[in-house]
Amino acid sequence: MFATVLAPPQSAAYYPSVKVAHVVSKFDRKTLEFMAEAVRDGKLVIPISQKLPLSEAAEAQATAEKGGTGKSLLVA
Amino acid sequence: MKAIVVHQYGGPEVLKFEDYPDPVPSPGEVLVRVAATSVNPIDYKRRAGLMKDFYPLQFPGLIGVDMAGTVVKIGPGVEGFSAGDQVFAMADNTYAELCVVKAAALAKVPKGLDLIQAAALPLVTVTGNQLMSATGIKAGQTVLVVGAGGNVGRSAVFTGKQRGATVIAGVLKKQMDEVKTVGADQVVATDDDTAIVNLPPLDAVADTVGGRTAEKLIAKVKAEECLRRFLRRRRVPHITHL
Repeated sequence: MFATVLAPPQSAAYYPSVKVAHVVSKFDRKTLEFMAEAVRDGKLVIPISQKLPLSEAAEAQATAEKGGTGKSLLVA
Repeated sequence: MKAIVVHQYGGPEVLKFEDYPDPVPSPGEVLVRVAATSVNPIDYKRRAGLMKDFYPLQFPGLIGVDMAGTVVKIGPGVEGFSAGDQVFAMADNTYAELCVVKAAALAKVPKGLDLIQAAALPLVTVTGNQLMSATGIKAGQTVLVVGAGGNVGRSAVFTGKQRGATVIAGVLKKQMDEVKTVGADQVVATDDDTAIVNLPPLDAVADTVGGRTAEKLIAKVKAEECLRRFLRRRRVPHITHL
């Protein structure tokens, strides 16, 4: 199984014996609560790279678009 | 309320911090005072107009999908939430001081988790979890997470370990140090062809990167078991390497 959050690879046509799934996330309360508890308990780390006021959304997006892995938070 | 209002597609400069009418909860909806939202790629792709064919903006309009905050008011017919509850959600129009969310799409923030930090979690952690679940990976099997240093990737690695799988974290060579703490059993550089050749056969790949890396890595996935049995029985000559 090849599951992806992006468009399935074009080369998939050459591997008919591999199933391909395009995953689009759907809200699920139990899943979110489970993952958030894992973060609270330190089992899963989602790094925060910047925390800015909501008014600085333009700067936050400009930084996020350049890449890097941490999340940018906008505090309202 | 104040919100980030978008009047046209464009670069980051089209994001304006302005007054915008307060949203009003309809039946089944909850009004939330937003503590924080977080930036996701979908936000700046929408702002830039890259998704206008299937997820257009209306002008003037709002963007944003992640949200954590405190319930202000519940609409008619809502049960299970009341004013003062700390909640988070995948919603619409979250770059704002107030946000309306369907009660069915709202979750309570676990006790002990910081409310502002909670805003970083909805989209990436749910996506990573659902991506790994979609692979159908089982205990004892091996799965490669491509882009394991990203937030969807980290969430997928965690979910794979929860399911009892052996999880290989795939990242670029230059990021190998960053993922030592994500909890994978092994780390592999996806831009190192020798390392790719030496990968064990994979039961599944959970991909968050796409592009050429994905094109290469699909070749490392074992054929589905039912297909292998079928092909063996049929003795299909040109796929004997399965």
